[in-house]
Amino acid sequence: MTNKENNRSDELEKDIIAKEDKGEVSTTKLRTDERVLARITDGIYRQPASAIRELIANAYDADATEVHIQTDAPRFNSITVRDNGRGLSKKALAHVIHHIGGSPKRTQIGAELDVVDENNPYLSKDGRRLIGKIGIGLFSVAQLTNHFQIISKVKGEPFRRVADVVLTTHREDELAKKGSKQDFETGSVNIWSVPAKDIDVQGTEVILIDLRQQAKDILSSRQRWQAMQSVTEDDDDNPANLVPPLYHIGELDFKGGDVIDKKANLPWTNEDAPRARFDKLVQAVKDGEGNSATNPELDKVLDNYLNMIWTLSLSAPLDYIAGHPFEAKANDGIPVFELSNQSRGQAVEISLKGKQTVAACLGLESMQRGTASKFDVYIDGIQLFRPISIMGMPTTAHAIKTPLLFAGKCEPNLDRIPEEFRGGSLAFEAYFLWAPKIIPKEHNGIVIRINDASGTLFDETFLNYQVSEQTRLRQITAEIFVTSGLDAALNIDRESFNYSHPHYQYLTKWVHGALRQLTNVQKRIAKELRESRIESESTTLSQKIVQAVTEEWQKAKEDPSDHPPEVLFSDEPKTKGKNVDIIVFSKNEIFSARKLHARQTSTAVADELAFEERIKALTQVLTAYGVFDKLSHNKQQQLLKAIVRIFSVEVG
Amino acid sequence: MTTKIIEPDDFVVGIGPTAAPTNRLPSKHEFKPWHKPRKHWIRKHQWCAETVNLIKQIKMRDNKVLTYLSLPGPDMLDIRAIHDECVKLGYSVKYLGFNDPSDESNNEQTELNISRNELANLAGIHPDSLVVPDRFEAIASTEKVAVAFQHLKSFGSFDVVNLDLCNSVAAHIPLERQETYFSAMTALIEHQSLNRTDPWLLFVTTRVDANTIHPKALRGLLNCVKANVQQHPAFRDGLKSELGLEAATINSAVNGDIKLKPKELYNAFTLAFGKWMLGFLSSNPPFWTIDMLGSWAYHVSNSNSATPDMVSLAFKCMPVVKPKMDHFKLGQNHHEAVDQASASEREAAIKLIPMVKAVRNIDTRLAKDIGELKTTIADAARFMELARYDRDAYIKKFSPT
Repeated sequence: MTNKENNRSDELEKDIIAKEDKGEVSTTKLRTDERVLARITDGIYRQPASAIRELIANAYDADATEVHIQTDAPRFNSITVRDNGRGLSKKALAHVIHHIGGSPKRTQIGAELDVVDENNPYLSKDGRRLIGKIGIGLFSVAQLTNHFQIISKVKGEPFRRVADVVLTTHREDELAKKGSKQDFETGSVNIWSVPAKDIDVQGTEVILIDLRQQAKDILSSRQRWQAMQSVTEDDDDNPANLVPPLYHIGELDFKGGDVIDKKANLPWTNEDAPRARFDKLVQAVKDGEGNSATNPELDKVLDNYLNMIWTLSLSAPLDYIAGHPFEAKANDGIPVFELSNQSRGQAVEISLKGKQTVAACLGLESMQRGTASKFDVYIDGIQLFRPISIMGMPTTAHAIKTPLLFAGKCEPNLDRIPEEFRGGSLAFEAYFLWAPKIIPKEHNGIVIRINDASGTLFDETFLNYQVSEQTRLRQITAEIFVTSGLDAALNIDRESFNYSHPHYQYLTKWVHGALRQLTNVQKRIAKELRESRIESESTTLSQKIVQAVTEEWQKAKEDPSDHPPEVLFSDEPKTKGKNVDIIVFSKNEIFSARKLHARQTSTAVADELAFEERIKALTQVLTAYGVFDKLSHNKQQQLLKAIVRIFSVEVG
Repeated sequence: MTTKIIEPDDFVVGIGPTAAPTNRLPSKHEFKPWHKPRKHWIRKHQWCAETVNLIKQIKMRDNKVLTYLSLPGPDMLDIRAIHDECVKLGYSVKYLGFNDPSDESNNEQTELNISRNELANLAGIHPDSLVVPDRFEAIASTEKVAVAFQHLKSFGSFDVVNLDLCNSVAAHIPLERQETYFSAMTALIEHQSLNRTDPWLLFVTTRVDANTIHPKALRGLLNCVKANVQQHPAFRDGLKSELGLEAATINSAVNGDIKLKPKELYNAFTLAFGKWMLGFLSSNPPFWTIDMLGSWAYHVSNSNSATPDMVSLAFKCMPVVKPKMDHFKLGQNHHEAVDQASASEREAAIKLIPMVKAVRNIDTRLAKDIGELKTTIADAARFMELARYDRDAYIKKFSPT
C-alpha cells in the first residue's frame, strides 16, 4: 500500500472518530487494494487450455495473423507460443510487468502506449474488438509454470526484447506477518535487449520453462492411463469411462518419462496438411465409436491433449470449419427463423433469396473483424478452426429430418436503469440450431462469445432454463455473439459470469425467450408432420411391438414426433458412422445364452425371431430412458447379454 | 519442546519445483571455437554447397521444402547458412533440432530461444520447424519408442542430416548403453532408408584422436574394414598404396595388439566410418549405398601435431536401383542375376579409399590463401552479426595480422 493510500485511510479514521459523538456522517469513495491482483500470478485457472487460450487472445489483440503453439507432446517438457502481432514496446513491456491486472487495453493509456486504436480504445489498431481487458493474460502461464521467457520484437526497432520471469507462490502466512507493509512482489524479472537485424519483423514469443508436473500430467492424460493400468478388461469394477480414448498422442512411460509405452493413435497422418489434420479430427469426433446408442463424447473419443485442441478451437476467435452459421444460404436447405426480441414474440420464418445469407437478410455484423480478418492458430502443425457446422448433423428417426436455424440480434435500450448501475450498453447477435441429435454431446448448450472469444464453452443449462423441455434442450446448440457490453459480467478467469450483472440478467431472459420461440416452432412443425402421416395399422406381432415401442419412446421423450433408433443384432463388419440411428450389437455375443434347439422347427425359428424382436424393443426402451448413455458399447452389450440370459433360464 | 520433523512423503513429489527457479541472464557474447572462420568455410563450402548440389540433382518435391536435421548450437549458424542458400533457390527449410536439456539452467538456452525466434520470423523457415529438448542419442531405443524418435518420425525423412558433434562419434562403448551415437545413427539411417527413395546427405563432424575414441568402439569400426581387406584384393591394395595401411596393421589393431599411430588412426577411422555406413545401408532391403563427398579436417586440441584431430565428413546416401529380372526369360531384355547389393558395396568401399586420402586440412588451406581467409571472415561476420555478435570485433579478432 502506498503512503498516499495509508494517509487516506488515516484521514477517514480520524473523520469517523471526530464524528462518532455527534452522529455525523463520514462520506468517502470505496477504494480497491492490490492484494487480490497479487493472487493472479499464482494462476486462477483450472485447465492448461485456459492459459494457452489467454495467450492466443493476447496475440489476437496485438493484431497477429498467425499463432504457432509448439509442444514436445506427449511429454510436455517444452511449450512455446509465438505470434506475429505488434510486439511489446519497452514502454508496454514495463507497463505489463508493473501493472499486472492493470491492462492498458480499453483505456486511454492503451492509446498512449500505442497498443489500441488511437480513437477507440475498445479496438485493436487494426480494428479488432479487443478480447483482453484486465491485464492478466500473460500471467495465465502461471497455471503451467513458475518460469517463463518473453521474446518480443516491435516492427521498425533494431532490438529484440527478452524478459525472463520467475513467479513465486503466493503466501498468505507471509502476508499476515508483514501486515499492511507488504509489497505485492509476486516474482522477479530480468529484461534485456539484443540487437536485431530483421528490422521489419514483429511478434511475441512466450517460452515456458520447467513446466509444472501437474500441468504435464494433465496434458499427457497421466491419470487416465495409470487408472487403466490397474484394471483389466474383465474387471467388474472397471467403470464405463475407464477405457482408452479412441484417439490419443500416445501413453508416456511415466516412470522413465522419455519413452512411449503405447504408440499414438491419431486421426491424421504425418503427411496431412495442417487443415486436413483438423478436418480429420472433427470427422473422428463425429464418427465416435461408430454405431452405438450414445452420442460421441469428447472425453471418450479424445485424450486430454486432443481435448485441449478442441477446447481451444471452440474458444479462440477463429473461422468456422465449414463457414459461419450466419453464412447459411437458401440452398443449404435449412429453414431459417428470425427470433423476436419481444417478451411474448414468436419466431418468424424468413426466406433467403438466391445467394443471400442469413447475415445479409437479418443485418448481422458480429462476424466482422476489422481490417485484420485473418487469424490462423496452429498447434503442433494442426490448424485450428471452430469445429461447429450447422451442416452435416445426423438424421435420426425423428419426424423432422432437417435442422432448424433460429437467428436474431438485440440491442436493448437500458435507459430505464441509472447509468452508473447499467453497466454500459449491450448488443449481441445469436443463433440457435435445433437438430434431432447434437454431435458431439458437448456441443449441446449455448456458448457466449464476447468479442468473438469465449472461455465458458457450451452451457448445457442454457443459462439455467427451468422449463421442462429436457429432450428438446438436448437437441439445441447455440451461440451468442456479444459485440458490446457483458464483459464486465465476465469473471476474471473468463470462464464464468457474475449472474447479478444487469447485462447477464437481460441476456438470460432473452435466451429463455428464444428457447420458448424455438420450442413453439419445432412443436408446430412436428405436429404438422405427424398429422400428415398416414397411419398404417398392422396386426402382426412385429408391428405391434414396433407400435408399442414407438409409443413408449414418445412418452419417454415427451415428443410425439420422435421415433426410436433402429437396433440391429448382427456380426457383419459394422459400417461406421453414416447413420447414427442404427445401433449395432453382436448377435453371437448377446444371444450366446440361448440354447440351440435340437430341431430347427418352423415354430422354434419363429419363437426365436419373436424373442429377438422383443429384445430389440427392450433395447429401444432402455435407450429412450438414457440407460445406455453412461455405458461404453461393450458394457451396453454386456447388459443386453445379461437380460437375454435371465429370460432364457428354463427349468430342468 | 522438540520440533516435530515431518518426513517428505510421496504426495509431495511433483507438487512444486524441488529447486527454486532463478532468473536467467544474457550470455556473454564471447567467440567460441565454432565461430572460427574455418568452421564457416565448412558450412559454406561443404554443407551449403553439397545441399545446393542435392537440391539441383533431385529437383525436390513440389512444396520446395528442404528437411534438415541439426544439432544446432545456441547461434544456429548451420541453419542460418543453409537457409541463406535455400532461399536463393526458392526453397524453405524445415528443420528439426536436438538440444541437450541438461543445459537447461545455462544462459545459452536463452540464446537458443532467441535464435529460434529470429529464424521463425524468416519467410524461408517452415513454421513447423522444431527444437526438441533431447540429446540426439535419445532417439535410440530398442524396446520402447523414444519421444525424441517420435518427433523425428513425425517429420518424415530428411534431405540433409548434419551431426555436428563436439566429441567423437565413437566416444561411447558400443552396446554397453543404449543411447550411443551409433545406436542413434542406426535408428536414423533405418528410418531414412525406409521412408524415402531420394538421395540424402549425411554430414558428420567428429573427433578422430585416440583420446576421444573409445578403444572398443574403434576395434568394432576397424572390423568393418577387416572384412573387405580379407575378401577384396583391390581394397587391400588400395588401402596400402593410397593410405599406407597394411592389412596386418588393421588386423593387429582389431585384436588390440597394437595402438595405431595418429596418422594411421586418422585414415583408418575415417575409412572405417564410411565402411560402417556402407555395410549398414546395404545389409537389408531396401538397399542403399554411399558416395563420400569432399571432406575436411582441422585441429582442435593439439595444433602442433602433424595430424588433424577433427574431421568434417560428408556422404551422399543413394538408393541401389536393382534392374528387374525376368527369371522365366519370356521377354527379350532380361538381365543376368547379380547380387547387386554386395557388388555395389564392394565398389563403393573401394571408392571410399581415394576420398579418404583426399581429405584436406582446412587450417592449412586458409593459412596459405589469405584472400580466401579474408573472404570467409567477411562472410562469417555477416552471419555472426545476424546471431547478435559484434561484426567488427569478429573481423578484428580473426583477421590475419
